[in-house]
Amino acid sequence: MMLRVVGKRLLGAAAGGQASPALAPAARRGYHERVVDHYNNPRNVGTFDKDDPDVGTGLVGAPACGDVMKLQIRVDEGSGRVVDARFKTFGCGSAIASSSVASEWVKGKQMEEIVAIKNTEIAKHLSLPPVKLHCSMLAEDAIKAAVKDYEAKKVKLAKADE
Amino acid sequence: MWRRAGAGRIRLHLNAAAAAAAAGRRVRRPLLPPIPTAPSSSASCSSPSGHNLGIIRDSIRAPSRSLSNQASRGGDGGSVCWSCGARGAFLSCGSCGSVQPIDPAVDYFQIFGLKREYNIKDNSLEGKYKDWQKKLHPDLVHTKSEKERGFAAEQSALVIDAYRTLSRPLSRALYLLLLEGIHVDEEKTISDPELLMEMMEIREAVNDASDSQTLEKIQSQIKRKLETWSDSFQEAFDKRDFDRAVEATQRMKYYERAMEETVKKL
Repeated sequence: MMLRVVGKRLLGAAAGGQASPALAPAARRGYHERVVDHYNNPRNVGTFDKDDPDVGTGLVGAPACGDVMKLQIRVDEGSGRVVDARFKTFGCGSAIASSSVASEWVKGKQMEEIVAIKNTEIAKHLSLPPVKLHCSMLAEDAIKAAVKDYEAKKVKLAKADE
Repeated sequence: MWRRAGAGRIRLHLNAAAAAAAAGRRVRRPLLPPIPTAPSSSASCSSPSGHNLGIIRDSIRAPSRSLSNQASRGGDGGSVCWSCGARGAFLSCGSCGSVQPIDPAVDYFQIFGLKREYNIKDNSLEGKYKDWQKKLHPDLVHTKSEKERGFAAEQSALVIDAYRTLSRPLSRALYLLLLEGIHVDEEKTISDPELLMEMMEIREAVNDASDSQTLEKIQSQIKRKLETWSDSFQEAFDKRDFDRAVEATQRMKYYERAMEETVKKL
C-alpha cells in the first residue's frame, strides 16, 4: 500500500489516458491486441437518455487514477433482457477496453446473468497485467451499478403508479 | 476506506537544531518556528490542535522508542558518522562530509527542515534540494569507497523523492496521511454520483474543446476547484478528520487528472 503513493507517479504516467502515444508502441508496452482493438474500434460508445425508464445507468470511478466509467443498459421490460448498451470511459486503454468488453457482454443477457460477470473474466479476455486488474473491477462494478439503477427506477415507477 | 497502520513505522528524529532543547525529554517533535504563511494569530491557533494531539498519541504508543532512539543516536540528534565518528551527521557528516547510510526514521519534511504540515513555503524547496544534491550526488563521490558511493546513490534518490513529494500539493497531502499511518485503499471503486457526474462533464468538456481559449477557461475552473479542495484537506487534516481529508485528496486527484488532460490538449 505504501508503494502506491510513490508508485502512483508511474501509474499516472502509464494509466493516464495518454492513450494514443501509449498504445502506439503496443508491443513494447505489452498491451494485448484485444485491448488495442477495443481502443481503436470501440464498440457501443455513446449515451442513452438516463431518464428513460428502460435505461439503467452505472457511473463508477477509480480514485487511484482519476478514471470515470459510465455504462448504460437498455432493458426490455417484458423479457428482462438487456437489449442494448452504451459506455463512456475516461481513463487508460485498459479501462476503456474493459468497459467496451462489458458493454458487449451484457447484450442479450438477463439481469441475473450480467451481475454474475466477473472482473477476472474480463481481465482474462484482455490479458490484463496485474497492475491493471482494477480496471476490469471497475467494469464489473459499472455493470452492477447499472443494474442497481434500473431496479431502483422500476421500484420508484411502480410506487408512483400505485 | 482507509486504515491506520501500526504505530511507529516512521519515527520522527531530532535534528541538530532541536537537539539541545529536546534532549532528555520524551517529546520528540522538532521545535521549529512555524512557517509564516498565515497571520501569526491563526498559525498559533491551528497548529496546537493537530500537533499536540499527535505528540501525545506518539509518545503513548511507543514510549520506549524515544529512549532507544536516543541511545543509538548518541543522544543529541543526528547519527554518529561512520567515517570520522563525529556526532550530528544528518544525511551527510557536517565534519568530514562523508555521505551517511539511509536512516529510515528520517521523513521528507525533516530533510528539508520543514515542519510536518501541509502548508509549506515551497519556494525554498528548490534551493535546499540543490544544496543537498551538492553534498550527496553520486557524481561527487567518484573517488570515494564503494560503500560511500552506494550511500550517495540512495541518499540522493531519497532527496529526489522527498523533493518531488513535497513540491506538489496532492502528493504532499497523501504523504502527510501516510505519516499518520493512513493508507488509502485506492483501488476501491467509488460511486459518488455528484463527483462522478461532475468529472464526466469536465472530461467531456475537455474532450470537446476545440480551441485553446476554451481549454484555458476550463483550466482556470479546475484550478479553482483544486484550491478549494486543497483548503478542505488542510482544514480536515488539522482537525484530524481523516475521512474528510482522504475524500479531499480523492477529489484533488480527479481534478489533477482533468488538468493533465487539458495540458495535453493545449
